[in-house]
Amino acid sequence: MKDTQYFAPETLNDALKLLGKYEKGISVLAGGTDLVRNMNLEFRIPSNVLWIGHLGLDYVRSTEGLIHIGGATRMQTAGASKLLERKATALWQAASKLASPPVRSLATIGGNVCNASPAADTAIALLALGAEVVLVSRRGRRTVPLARFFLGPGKTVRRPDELLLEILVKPTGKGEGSAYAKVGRRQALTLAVLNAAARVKVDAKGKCVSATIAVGAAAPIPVHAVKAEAALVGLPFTEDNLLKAAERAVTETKPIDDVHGTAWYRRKLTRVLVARCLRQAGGLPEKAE
Amino acid sequence: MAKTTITFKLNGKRVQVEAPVTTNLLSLLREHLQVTGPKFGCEQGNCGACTVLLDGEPVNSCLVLAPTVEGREVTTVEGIGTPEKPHPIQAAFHDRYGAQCGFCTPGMVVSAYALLRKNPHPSREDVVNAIVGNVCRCTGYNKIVESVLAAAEKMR
Repeated sequence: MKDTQYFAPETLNDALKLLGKYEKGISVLAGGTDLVRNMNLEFRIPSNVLWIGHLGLDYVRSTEGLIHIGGATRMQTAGASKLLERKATALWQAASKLASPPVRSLATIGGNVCNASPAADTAIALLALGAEVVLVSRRGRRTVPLARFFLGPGKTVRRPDELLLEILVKPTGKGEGSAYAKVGRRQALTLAVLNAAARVKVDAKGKCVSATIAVGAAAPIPVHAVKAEAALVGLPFTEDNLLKAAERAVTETKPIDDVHGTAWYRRKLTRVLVARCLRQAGGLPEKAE
Repeated sequence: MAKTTITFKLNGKRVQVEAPVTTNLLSLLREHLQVTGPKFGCEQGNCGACTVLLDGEPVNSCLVLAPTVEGREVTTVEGIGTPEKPHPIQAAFHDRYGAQCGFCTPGMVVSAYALLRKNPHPSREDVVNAIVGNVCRCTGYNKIVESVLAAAEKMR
């Protein structure tokens, strides 16, 4: 076996050159909570490692009416962001509860999205927020809606020479909110048995103007529950209507039995968590479930 | 194995060490620098026994690739206090039975230290949230939480 080479470029240009040169033969290291874990436990040693910690990609900022989240933004940074807390609440909730404080000081949102776990906390929140990802390579840059980013567990449309530069989120405006909910086997340091997120806009008359719903750990990729959304948009935003939408979401998932939970339980949770997110995002009171 | 030279600040002192580029920070500390406070637990960020401060923030050292600490600052439990001059957190763990077998203690102390530096007036819930990443199989956590709260009071 050839010795592993380690690169820590100081500029984006140098990083993209390396990605272009090695393509599949180079692994991007952002936080390391997946990559280094796999090196430790599964002896999956990359031939080349590209650390992106020097590229200045750990940021959350607002420009031209959009929230820009750097590809290497750590959960800790996102959890401390007042901007996300107010304008992209679902993502803030997902990031600030993920795993544990020592993991949150390492793990990045870009890594969470690119590793494409169907249960990825921040990916579910971002999907519900209608986020887009910006991919760059030496060939140029392209913007992909997150709803078209995931192909399967660990598989995305990111090409081997591309780097996830940043994530774009439209901040929630007047009459609009978002929320994230997760059930794990314990409170912390746990994978979601099921997670969900929603973004809802309600007009002055109490009508649902728009809704985006995402469900995680219920299919090979994060589920964008479009039928549930259609069941809600245009109707009065009431407890009855949101429950119908949540029931609809159950039909859009394909959960399996695994060590974390059963398909049956995941279907039950889908209804409960989608409803919970919708209530919170749309400003309706909590209900005993 | 391709080796690399890593220079960083460890517990306030500049150190230089040669290690394979695939080494994680925990192995670098324990096996290359003989700093054995951080413990080898799960190697996947689930137990917190290897918690150290990296640039002032708690991290699982087993998940940090060693070359990435180049030019940065690492603090282990050894840098927080010594047996002769224990930090108030360490003294509180001693006085209030916050440690039993002791395996989780270095990580617990580091997580508690990170909390108290940011928040000198933590509630019980704040303490619990700060140490959720540190698993203890002996104490049932109550004595640990009490120790951290007592240390906070003493430090104010």
